[in-house]
Amino acid sequence: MFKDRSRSPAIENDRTAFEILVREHSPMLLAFIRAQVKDSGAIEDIHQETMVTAWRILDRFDQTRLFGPWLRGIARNHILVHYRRNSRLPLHCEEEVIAHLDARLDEISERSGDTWPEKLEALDDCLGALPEPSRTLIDLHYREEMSTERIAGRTDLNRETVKKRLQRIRAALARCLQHKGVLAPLPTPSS
Amino acid sequence: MTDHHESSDHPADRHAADMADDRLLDAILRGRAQDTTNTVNARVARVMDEVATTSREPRGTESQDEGAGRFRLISIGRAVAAAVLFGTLLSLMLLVSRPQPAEATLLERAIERMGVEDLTYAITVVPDPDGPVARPASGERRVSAKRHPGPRAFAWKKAPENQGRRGTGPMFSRLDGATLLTRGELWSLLVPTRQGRMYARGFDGEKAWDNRPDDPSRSRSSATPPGENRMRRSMQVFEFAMLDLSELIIQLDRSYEVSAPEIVDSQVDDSPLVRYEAIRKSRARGAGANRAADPGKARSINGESRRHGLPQTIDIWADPESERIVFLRLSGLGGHGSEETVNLELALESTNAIPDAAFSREGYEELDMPRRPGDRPSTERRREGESERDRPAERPGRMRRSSSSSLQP
Repeated sequence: MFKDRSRSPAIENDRTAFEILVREHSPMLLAFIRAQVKDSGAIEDIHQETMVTAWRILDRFDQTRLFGPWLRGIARNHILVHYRRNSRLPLHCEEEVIAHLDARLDEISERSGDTWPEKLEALDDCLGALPEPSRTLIDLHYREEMSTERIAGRTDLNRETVKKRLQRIRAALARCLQHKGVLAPLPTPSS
Repeated sequence: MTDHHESSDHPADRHAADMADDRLLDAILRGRAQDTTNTVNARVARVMDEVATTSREPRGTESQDEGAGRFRLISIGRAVAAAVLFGTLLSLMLLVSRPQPAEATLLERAIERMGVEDLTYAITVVPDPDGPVARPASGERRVSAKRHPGPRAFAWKKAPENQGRRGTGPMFSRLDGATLLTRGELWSLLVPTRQGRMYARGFDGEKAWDNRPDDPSRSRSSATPPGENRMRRSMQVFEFAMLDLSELIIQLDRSYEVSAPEIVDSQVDDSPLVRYEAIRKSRARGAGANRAADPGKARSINGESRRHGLPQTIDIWADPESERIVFLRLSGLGGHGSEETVNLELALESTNAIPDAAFSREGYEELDMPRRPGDRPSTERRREGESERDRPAERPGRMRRSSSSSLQP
């Protein structure tokens, strides 16, 4: 259903249909951008530039293909431009990582559900299954947008420990999503 | 559910997958926390406000297959246009052979943009510093292999009048300083002559044209003004090379080693460019084993391998912001009857709208080529004399065109 809708509005060729596309694909696109860019202002800019570019060249979109990957291709160019404008190497743009990221976003997009949160509702269960200290750490970092340095200052942990714990929590959530079938399982390192 | 991970059991792959998952979860968690309904609505509203003032670009008027077919048409200016479009097709081939999602999108857009926009390219012929005959200081216009050459591409324009241009490849020199105008399938090639006039040739969508007088006798060398004849010969060679290029496109993947795209700095401004490099595979590798895979090797005209006309290296610079191919360099083009090789450079000079008249014969003054030997420089007369003496027995390798590939419009 998601895939079909992803294709059909592009054919409509008008702004109303495009707005539907924007609403449907923005969460996915933002996840893609956020995975590579940390600055919140730049994320919004890249998102907007990507959508406007997509609108401008919408007639060139191959309707036999999925809209999401096409959108991410445009976003990738804007991300590269962003890094070059800031005279920084795109450290978050390793091709292999991007390829895995692309594949993961496709996996989520193929899930049942009309919206991005519906496709990821299993994440609620995964978050609920976390130990209390881990949930607290997640809340501080993401909901209250505290940096790892501030969290370290508020707790008895040092900054590196906070970063490492957050990383482990995310890994646990990824495994949980794999277990629930949202993401494809990764092979064990020994396989 | 995709199975892309099933084969990723290499430690490096696993590491990349873990890193991707970590970043994805980080992004998703940030989104869950930050993207409230109001935030999302405001974001969509901003996009739609921008969309409301952004016009759509029409789809390209032709497919790549049709574009490739056009290369087979035989005409001089069309061949020059092929030089530009070759870059785009090369890019397309790169996408096929080496999928690069982000760059692919950029180059796809660049390809399509060339089909609908008015583009003006400046053509420069420079000695190839890496050619068999080393060039002295006059060949200093060589640019970095990786950096966009920027304004240096137009250095000849800054040279004092009457000094002449430094790029003097024997067969391509006539095209040095030429300008190529393109609008989809329409094109005009403007070549300044030594007499300060402009030789124009083009395609108006229905027919090929040039601005020479409608004199039937000019189609025969015996009645052709010598200066015009020389120009045509040099352009024939150019077409010759370009036609080979067009055929090469079909087998590009086999004929060139193509590098992965890389981001390079522009010397013109701070914007980054994406560069591709295609290097011709070694002759030894292509010889004998598979001629079909190397079409240039299989044919010869008057005993001279057509591969002599092919570039050794093709460099393409695409601007991710403007989504245009801004520079194309064909390096190591073989000089006819000479070991000297030259580079042909096409630099995007302007994207301004081009008047319709620029694509038709009526838009140009009729060209009256000189008919008295005294009208031409002595060096040119001397060369022509040599050319007449050498033709054809002493120089069997000289390129001759068959009637089937006539360049007459």
